[in-house]
Amino acid sequence: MISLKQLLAPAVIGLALAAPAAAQDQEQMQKNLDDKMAKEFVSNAAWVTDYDEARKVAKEQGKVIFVYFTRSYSP
Amino acid sequence: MEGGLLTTPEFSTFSEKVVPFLHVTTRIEGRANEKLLSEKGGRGFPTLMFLDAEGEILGEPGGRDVASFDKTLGALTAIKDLEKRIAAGEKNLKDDLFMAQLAMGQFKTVAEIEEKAKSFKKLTKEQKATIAKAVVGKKVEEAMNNMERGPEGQAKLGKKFKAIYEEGIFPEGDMEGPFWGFLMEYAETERDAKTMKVALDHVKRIFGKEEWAKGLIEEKEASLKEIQEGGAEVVEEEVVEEVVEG
Repeated sequence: MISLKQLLAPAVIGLALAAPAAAQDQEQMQKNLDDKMAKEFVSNAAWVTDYDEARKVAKEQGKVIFVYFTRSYSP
Repeated sequence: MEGGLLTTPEFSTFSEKVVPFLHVTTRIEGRANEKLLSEKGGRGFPTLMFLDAEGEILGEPGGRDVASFDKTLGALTAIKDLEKRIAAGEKNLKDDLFMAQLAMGQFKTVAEIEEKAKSFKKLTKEQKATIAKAVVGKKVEEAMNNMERGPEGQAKLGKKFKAIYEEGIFPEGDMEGPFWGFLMEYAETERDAKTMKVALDHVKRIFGKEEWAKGLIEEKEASLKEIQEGGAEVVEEEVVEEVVEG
């Protein structure tokens, strides 16, 4: 029987996230994050990268927060 | 997304109307808010979401283009405006607000929607349909979130979806794919060709252009054909009773 895993691929990916990488990989994970932040799209908007800061600015400016969730641990 | 949409001048302009918040899941130990995506109910990458200043979810954009972002932002602004006018004492706006919130998916449970709906005595046919649709969407989402693992869990989920299907109101948005997908699987197991065909047609409509779905669709089409040709019901073997002479 074909598993529905494929069909639900976008729904399933998220379940595996947020497991911390092994200690020896930590350096690599930091490098991956640095690479991500150096990408062109990051400079195309005044992105806030801290959650508390985003809420603070939203309150001050009376705006809503638009979150873009992405990952750096794998491409 | 990062190589396209988010690098455009249109997105840059849009970003000035909101607080653009970039959240990266890094798997770096001890990093603050590392699990924010799953805390907000996100299921994969990328996920886009509107939050208020308290971090409460306001809604997700209807599509992945700046026009959709603007449209959702407009709907959120309209909700905020209605809330302000109601707070200022303006009458007869509560059902407009309720409908706008339903359309944005701002209720967490079926119970919450039903409870809220009860407080409205006079609703139009259209408004009732909007509520029914939102309730079905939430029911499907709740069933998905509480799904037990393994084939038994999948069968239970399929049975629930079949009951929803028989009532004739179907979910839209995020839950549409899982709904028809699991219903298709269930109908196949039950050798219910009629339901399987309907579900498969929806799966084709939703996922037909996706590369990964092609093999699956072909396989299900073949299976459907086999069920149709073999008859809708499993023929039970005849039991020949032995006559015991005494």
